[in-house]
Amino acid sequence: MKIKAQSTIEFTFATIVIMFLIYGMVQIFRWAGMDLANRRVAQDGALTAGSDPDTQLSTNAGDSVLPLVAVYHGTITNGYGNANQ
Amino acid sequence: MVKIKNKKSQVSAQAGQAAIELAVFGAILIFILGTIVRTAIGNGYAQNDNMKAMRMAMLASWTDSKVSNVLGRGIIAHSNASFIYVEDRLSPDFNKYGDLDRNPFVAQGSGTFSPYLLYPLDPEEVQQNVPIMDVYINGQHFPFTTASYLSKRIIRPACPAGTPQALGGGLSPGQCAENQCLRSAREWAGGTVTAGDFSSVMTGIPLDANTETTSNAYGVAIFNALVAQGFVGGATGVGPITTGYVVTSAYSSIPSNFTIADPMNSNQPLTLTPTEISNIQNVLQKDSFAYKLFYTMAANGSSDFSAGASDTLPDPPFDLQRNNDPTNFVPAGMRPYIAWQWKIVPATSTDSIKLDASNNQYPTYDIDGRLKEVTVYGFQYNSDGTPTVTYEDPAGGDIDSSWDLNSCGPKPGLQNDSQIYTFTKNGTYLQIKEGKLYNIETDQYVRSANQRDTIDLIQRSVQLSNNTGRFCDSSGRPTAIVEPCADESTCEATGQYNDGKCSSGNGTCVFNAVEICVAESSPTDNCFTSANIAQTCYDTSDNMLFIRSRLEDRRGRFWMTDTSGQMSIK
Repeated sequence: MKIKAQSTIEFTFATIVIMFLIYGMVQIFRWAGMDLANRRVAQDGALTAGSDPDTQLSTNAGDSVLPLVAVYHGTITNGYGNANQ
Repeated sequence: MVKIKNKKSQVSAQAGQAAIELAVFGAILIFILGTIVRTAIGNGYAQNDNMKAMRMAMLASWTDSKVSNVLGRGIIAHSNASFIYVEDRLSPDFNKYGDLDRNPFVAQGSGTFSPYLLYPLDPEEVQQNVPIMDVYINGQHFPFTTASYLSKRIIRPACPAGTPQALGGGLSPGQCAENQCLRSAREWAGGTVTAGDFSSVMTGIPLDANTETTSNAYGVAIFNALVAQGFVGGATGVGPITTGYVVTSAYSSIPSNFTIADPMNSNQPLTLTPTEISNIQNVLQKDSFAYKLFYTMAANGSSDFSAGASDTLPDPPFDLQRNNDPTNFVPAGMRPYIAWQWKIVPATSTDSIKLDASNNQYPTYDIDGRLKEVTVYGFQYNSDGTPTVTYEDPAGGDIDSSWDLNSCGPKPGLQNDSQIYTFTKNGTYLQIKEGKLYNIETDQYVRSANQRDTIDLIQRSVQLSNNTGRFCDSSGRPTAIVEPCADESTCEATGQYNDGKCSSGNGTCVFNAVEICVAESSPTDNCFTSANIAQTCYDTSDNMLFIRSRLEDRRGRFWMTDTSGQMSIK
């Protein structure tokens, strides 16, 4: 009886943890798909809304990614180079 | 006792089984979760770059169409715009210092959003409308031209005597350039020639039965045919021409089934028997004007100069490499299936080259022996017998859009190798603080601090085809790139020349992401000296552009326990 009870408890704990993991996996699957779909829908919506191409094409709708637009203009002072501008 | 021990052992094993299974399968699940997260973020980056590239391409096409050029019309440099984005994004990871790995994401987008799709350019507009391919590397903007607009006087090239070697990518750049020079020199025609030159060398040639004339008359007929076709110029309308100057020529690709009439019988195409060809070759010296003219006349359209009898005889139209090497001629059996062949065209006037600006007829020719055709927009025949040609050259831009294995320069474009350096000293750092740090003022225990302040220096190299002066001027300094823009557009926020704004009205954007120019690479002055290693550098000696992206990464986390509700000793 003691053996069965221990196994049952361990199984219960394991099941709870596994359920959380599976729930997390489902949520991540959902997020992974929705992230792509939302970005696509947002862009399509922006491109078809209104009649001004400048506004339509300049939109960042769905652009959830931080832009890489900067080049560091400070000084790299480790002796290997000088990027001072 | 033994039984009990065994039983206890079994109990212990069974008790740990569930935990082990949980650990194993849990680890697998967590690994899968991590993989999904990393893949999803990567897909998001890629999708974002793809959509942005398409939007930016269409926006550039649209914006250019609204900018007035010199004639008050739209710009078509971006009519069929192509944008390439290269971004090195951090990849999600569990590390002491956070995300360290960077993955490159490359996206290419093309778009057309312009009312000038089939707009025929006038010569004065071409300079402002050479096509541009835009490359963004970690936010740095490099607008590469894929053509150039030049005006050049075509002269007889000075190069040593010799025969051009066969092409095919096996030649060194020096050999390749010499090859082009030899081809151009060999095909360059100039000087004075008389009908007597031909009649004299034709003497003794046995004629076929269909040509019921003397060999002397046959040579005169060839001369007259050259005059009629424009290869020999001179006084016209004053009777038969007996002497004239040989005109410079240009090559054009034509359909392979083109033929010309026999100068002795206009009702028949020009076909010579192998015996006739052989005799002519023996009589005419290859470097003589007469031979060149005869060669030229045959190249003007004989579809099968050797009459198909022997492939070892010259057949200029099917000498596609134009090096007079019969082993490289198109085999006779394949000639019916070849879509084009070279045709020589006399270049004496706009009419002779079929240049008609009033009807927007701009022909394409190979004008300098490169085997590459250019679009001719202007032509002037000089008094010394040389033409000055104004043309758009698809091989003359920053990127040779017509590059192939026969081109002399290296393959242009973004190279496969890239390097990344991370600077972490003296002002930039990776730092971890752990453990207790009691602050008597706030009653807080700082448990963990993780900070980073680094510069990732990523080097990419782009092989350019020509130094067009767009990035570096002749004095070795970065050039201010000026591009027209619509007043509502925003300039790129990169480069030391950038003002970030388009001036009012139809204004200009001024920018250049190139920071250092190196004219003659030497041990003390190159793109890898300590002063230049971190900067975007253009080595004009080999047209290699080193793009150095400096990405600052300043992030961290600061986790602490709030002890404000607990007892404290003041």
